[in-house]
Amino acid sequence: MKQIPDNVKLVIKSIGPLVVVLFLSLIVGNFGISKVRSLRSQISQAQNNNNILTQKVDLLRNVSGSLSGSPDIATIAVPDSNPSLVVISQLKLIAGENSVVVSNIKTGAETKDKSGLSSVAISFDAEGPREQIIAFLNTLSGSAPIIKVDKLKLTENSGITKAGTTVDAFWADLPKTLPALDNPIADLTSDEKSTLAKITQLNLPIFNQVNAATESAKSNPFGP
Amino acid sequence: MAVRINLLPEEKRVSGDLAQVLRIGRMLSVISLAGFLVFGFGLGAFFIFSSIQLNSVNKNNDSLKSQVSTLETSESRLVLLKDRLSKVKKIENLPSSIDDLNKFNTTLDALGGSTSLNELDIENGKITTTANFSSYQDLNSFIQSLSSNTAFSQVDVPSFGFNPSTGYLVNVSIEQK
Repeated sequence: MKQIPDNVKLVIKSIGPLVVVLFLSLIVGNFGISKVRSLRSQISQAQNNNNILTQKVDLLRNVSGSLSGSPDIATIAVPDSNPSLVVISQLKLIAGENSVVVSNIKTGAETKDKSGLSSVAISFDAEGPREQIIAFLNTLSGSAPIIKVDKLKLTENSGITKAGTTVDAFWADLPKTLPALDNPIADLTSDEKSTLAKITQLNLPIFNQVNAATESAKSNPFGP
Repeated sequence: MAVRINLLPEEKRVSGDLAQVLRIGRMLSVISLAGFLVFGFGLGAFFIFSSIQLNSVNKNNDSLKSQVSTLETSESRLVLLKDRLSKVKKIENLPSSIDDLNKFNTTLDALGGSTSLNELDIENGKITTTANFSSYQDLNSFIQSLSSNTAFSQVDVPSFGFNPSTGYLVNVSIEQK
């Protein structure tokens, strides 16, 4: 085997450690820096979550007292089930208050739009003086559950107005899930507060739920 | 007096240039090793510090998450309220015939006592009415009231009739703005 010249051996011994150190620096540097970068990224994400969670805790603590009955009123305004019976009850009550006679009440089929808002058409005839009919319809429009007057047909005869009316009553399913724990939550916007102020002015129904009649304990309901 | 003796044989002697290269090489090796050790320890210390910082932030986050969990009732009520308010807003933006009736009401109020409103239809922003006016003055008041009402974009008169015994029978179709 050919011997390595002495000079070359000396150069290898001198520069060898430098090459090894540079090589190790490259490997350790790449690995170490990538690990530290990953760690810093995790810290940044965790601090971001920390800010969100702190804001969320502060907000929820502040609103817990101020919300009071607002969600309940909002659920009466737009309930989670078909409010036909409640609307009809409101209809009759307000008609009585305005000396208007309501008859021929009918409900239509339910419809649901893409946003999840369901509606049902309720038609009826109202009879009375024109001013009272208009007052009745305005009061009905300012009641809960929220309705929209869709069609109106007024006819007058000998000072008595008859109004064939169709109103739409609305409802929507309640939210099923809460946002993730570390998702931010926002307070009510000014637009939402304005809407809330409007719905707190609505005439609320006397009752909100119409429960089905329960079975009688008596075997003969007509007996003593 | 000290005497410098070079015991290295002549053939083993390193030339001046090569000696310089070897000296520089050794110096660079030492410097690079020192630099590597400093860099390595520094990186390790920073990694340990960052790990401790991450643990501390995560611990704080876990505490905050448990606080959020205890406030779940408030959160659910707020989410419910915002959901319902968005639905109310959607409904508010839907057209309503009662708004059209209220806009037309000023015109209705202008109808004289001898005028009878045969029919008034309101649907999809369109108002159609047929009225019987016993006198020209009542008809004139009605037309003037219609023309001064800024809520209407278009007023059509599809039919206009006159009967000497009953007066003017007018059918009007109105488009809202």
